[in-house]
Amino acid sequence: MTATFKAQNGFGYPDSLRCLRCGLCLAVCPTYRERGLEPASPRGRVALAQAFAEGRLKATAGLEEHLAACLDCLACTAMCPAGVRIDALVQESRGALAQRRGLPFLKRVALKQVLPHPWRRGVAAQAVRLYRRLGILAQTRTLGLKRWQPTWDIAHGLLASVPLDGARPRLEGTHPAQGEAKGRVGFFLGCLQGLAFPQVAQASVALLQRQGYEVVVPPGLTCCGKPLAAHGDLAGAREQARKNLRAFASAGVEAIVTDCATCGDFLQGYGRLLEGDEMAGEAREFSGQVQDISCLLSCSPGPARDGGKPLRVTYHDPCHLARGQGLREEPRRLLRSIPGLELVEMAESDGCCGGAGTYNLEHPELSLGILKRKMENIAATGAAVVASGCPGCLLQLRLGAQRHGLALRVAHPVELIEESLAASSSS
Amino acid sequence: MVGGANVLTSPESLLCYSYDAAPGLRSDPEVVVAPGSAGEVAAVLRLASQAGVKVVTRGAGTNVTGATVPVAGGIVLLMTRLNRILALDEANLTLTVEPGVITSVLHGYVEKRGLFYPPDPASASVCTIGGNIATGAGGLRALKYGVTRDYVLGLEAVLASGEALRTGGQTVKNVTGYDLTRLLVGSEGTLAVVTQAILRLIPLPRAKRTMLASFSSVEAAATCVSAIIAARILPCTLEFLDKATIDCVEAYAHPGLPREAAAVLLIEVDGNPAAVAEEAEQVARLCRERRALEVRLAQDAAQEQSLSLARRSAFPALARLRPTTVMEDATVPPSRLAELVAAIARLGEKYQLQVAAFGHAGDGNLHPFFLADGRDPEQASRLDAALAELVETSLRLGGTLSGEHGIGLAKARFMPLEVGPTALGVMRAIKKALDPQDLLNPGKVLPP
Repeated sequence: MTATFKAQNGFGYPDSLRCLRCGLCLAVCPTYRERGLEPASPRGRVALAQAFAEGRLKATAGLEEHLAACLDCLACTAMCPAGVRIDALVQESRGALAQRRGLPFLKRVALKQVLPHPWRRGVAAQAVRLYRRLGILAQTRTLGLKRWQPTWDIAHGLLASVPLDGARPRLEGTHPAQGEAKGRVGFFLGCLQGLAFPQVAQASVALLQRQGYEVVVPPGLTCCGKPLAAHGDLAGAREQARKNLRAFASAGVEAIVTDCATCGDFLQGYGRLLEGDEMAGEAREFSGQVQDISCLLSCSPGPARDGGKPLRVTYHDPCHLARGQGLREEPRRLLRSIPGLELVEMAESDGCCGGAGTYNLEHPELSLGILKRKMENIAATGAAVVASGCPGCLLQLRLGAQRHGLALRVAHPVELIEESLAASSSS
Repeated sequence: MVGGANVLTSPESLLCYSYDAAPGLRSDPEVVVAPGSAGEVAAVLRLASQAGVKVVTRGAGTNVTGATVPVAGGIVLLMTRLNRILALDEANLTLTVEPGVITSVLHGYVEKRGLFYPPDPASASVCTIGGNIATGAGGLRALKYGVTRDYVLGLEAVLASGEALRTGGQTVKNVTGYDLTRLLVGSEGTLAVVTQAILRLIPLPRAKRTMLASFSSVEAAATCVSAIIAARILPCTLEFLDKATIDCVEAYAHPGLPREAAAVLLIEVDGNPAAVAEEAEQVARLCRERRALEVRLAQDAAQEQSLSLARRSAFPALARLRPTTVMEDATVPPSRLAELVAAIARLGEKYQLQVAAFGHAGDGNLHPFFLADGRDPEQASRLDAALAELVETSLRLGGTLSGEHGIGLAKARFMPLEVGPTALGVMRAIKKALDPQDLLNPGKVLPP
């Protein structure tokens, strides 16, 4: 059973009243498996959120902590026998809590002052690259306060994925279709993709062009808004959504393509997010146009040509692609279409990797425990490459490979396709 | 005593241990303690008995009767940290485990080695063996393989006083003294706290065949069940879905059942391959002879999955319809199943409630669902009256209050209807002997 669940507003609580408390969600929750305690389970979070909504529980730091520990992996929502949208309830409760308690200083700066502003995002990205370039600064890790050490270690590990020379790709503009034009599509460049995986975004645009699409990246695109919504700032997320809608308003595209699972999932939810807003109509239409790149490419004639090297690849299902968008088969079909590639399935391929945006920095211990299980499942396949269509997952899996000493390449499916096509056209 | 991290006292934590899967019941404990060894369990109980504090033992909290709701406050004793599989004895086919082992983890562990632990409650993916023992859990395979109590050979437990005892042992045969093992199985944490269990295993059946048969009436399906049993065949699964369930399942999961189907049987036979092939054909023939509208026999694992879809979808299909879903546990001798199904439909009409029933036709254990909005006091009182009448009906048909869910809080008031005054007196005497201060799970099983 696959279903699509989108961020909602104002309906999570009444919807949650159908919760039977049967407890079946505990079995699929990564944080319950780690902690073994009810407050770290979906059923526990529902009980807490309901008690908060009904005024039986105050806006305490404890409540905030339990709600923040949810990965938003959607595993519980997807399996709930009663169909309760647990993810929506958690997100809304975080919003209500943030209103009462406010966001912590660092989060407030990152979410409100940096993320929504392209120029400041650019400065932050430069700062990250500078940090990477000055290897000497790695020493400062030991100067950090003890409490922050695990977070610092993870941050350092994650930043190793950020290319030193890769500025945010300048994709703005119109890219012509190769051969006979099939259509005109928009491309949404996600923040993380731009910072850490510019080559993936470039490969995505190039692939679309090769397959006959004219690709438009309009000016004025900004963060999709997911990080704001995830931390409870729904008003901020709506503001981002309106900017993106305006950016695409006059682009004249038939579809809006993204290669980030989480952006795609959130963009598809704009209709719900902006319900009752003055741009509600545009938002609904926009939501229907958003597609993950795997869907578009696998719907097109596959790049089946000779010349690829035999390669053992396993695939990790991003939460927001498999459960968020119901896409499991499309990326696999795409990978299988690469000549000489052998796709091997890992156990629990749709189990969360523990990355979940900035979750790994905020909950280092839980995140690393969840990552360990994922890396063991990957290692058991003997694959040389793990592919996944989400930059958050890619960063986390690279961290996993580093920490577990695995000689493993971590790649987005489009990179593998682009390489295969480049190899076959040059031979 | 157990380490600070294993003692929870925050209001948020207490709230999360105030409920189980029973609808509408809630009561905060004063503290949650998660011991890491039998010695720590004993220490907690010694302290509790000295201070006169109540103790509710809890696994995953999936029971539907309120058996783990701490109605008198006190301590919730959380057993999930005691989750080690201690010893597999392949020569004697026993498995020694701690009570916090998750049932499906145990299934995976033994099945990988060609062995079988048959009890499979619907919550197996998350519930614990300790909870299964405390409730005497059943499942889909009871007709052929029995229930939890048939697989518990011995126990280690701690009394309310903190004294530890052993019951039974490693052998299938053991008639030394009173059968304290069976006394503790199904006692819902009111007599002692189980800290270790010796379970009996059997060889894993090598083959299985699955089929789905649809009928135009409940009576036709019920006669077919009787015919299968009369033919001296014991299917491992013999599941039934009534018309209301079929309609909900069709709308939810679209398994493509015949339009005119008023009853569906999911049947599985298992055993050695040759016997299974023969029995599967025989059962299919019997179904056709009994006017089945359609019989589908799975040829491979994929078809098996698709045939069992209707049964697997029954719970989620019904659970999402109304704010309050009460899943009952009415159980009658299998030959009286059709009468029970008819009585359930009448209850729905009489009390103006949406009802549906599915369950284990082979052992007479049905799960009638009563759907309502419990927040509306008028609906809640109709629901209550319907449940009381269902209990009377089950008893009139020669059945029992509870086949596999247990009594807990929800059914304690009905105990005198089934258990005579003398037997109830014996039960009270046993409780008094083992737990004189009434510390362990007070208010459960025995009526006040």
